Amino acid sequence: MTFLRSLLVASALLGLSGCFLSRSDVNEPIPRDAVQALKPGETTAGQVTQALGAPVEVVQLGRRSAYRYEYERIKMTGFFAILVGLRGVDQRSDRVWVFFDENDVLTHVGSTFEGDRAEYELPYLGEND
Amino acid sequence: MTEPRSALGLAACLALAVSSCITGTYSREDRQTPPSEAVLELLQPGQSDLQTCLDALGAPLVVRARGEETELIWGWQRTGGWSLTFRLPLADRGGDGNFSYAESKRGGRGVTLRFDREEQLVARNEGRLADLIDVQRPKAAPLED
Repeated sequence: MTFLRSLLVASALLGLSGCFLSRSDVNEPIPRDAVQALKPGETTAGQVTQALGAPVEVVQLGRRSAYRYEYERIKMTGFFAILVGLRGVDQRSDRVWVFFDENDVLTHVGSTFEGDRAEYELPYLGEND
Repeated sequence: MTEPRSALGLAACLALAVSSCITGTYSREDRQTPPSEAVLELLQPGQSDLQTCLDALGAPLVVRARGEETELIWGWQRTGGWSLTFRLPLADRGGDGNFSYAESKRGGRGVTLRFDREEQLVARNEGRLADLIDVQRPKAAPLED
């Protein structure tokens, strides 16, 4: 009888649980080789926009300027049983900032390529990091 | 006598849970990858320039002018915690009532680096990302007639 009751409870728990995976992307991935081809002191703002397209942000820094390019990937994972749920969100970005002098010539490049490192991960209960 | 009461309580809890009236959720959110402490320690005012910092930390979240200086902010987040939601359908009153409680461990952290006109690092500040972005955001200038 106890076994049957346990089986019934286990079946109910399994039957009433659900899970999901979702992925969303914001903008297009940034071509890494195009960024590596940019040459400070030579490449102009026009050449940068030809290679990378329109920036998502332009910042005026006195007489100088900086453009931001960004691609974002968000992966969500969820598991829901009767009483509790687990939900994990991993958000990573490809982001590039290009800095120009007052003549619109490239002076500095800062880049981060992490978009493809986003993972589907359920959080572990009791983790303390 | 105790067993029927327990069974009744269990059934009530189960009914509330199955109807989504009570849900407990453990969530974790990771946004961006934090740099190592060793890399951060290498970047000191008077010793590093803009390109050194960009090479070490990658692209910042925020770039903005601060008077004659340029300010860059890097940030990352690792948040985890439980939330408990109690929701009561009130169809006859045209809505739902709900109560949520959430506790989270650690929020966004960040570092601000400020550079002078010669692109030398002149100031460095670490702390909560929200504080770094909001408190140090320049006030909007009033509209002029």
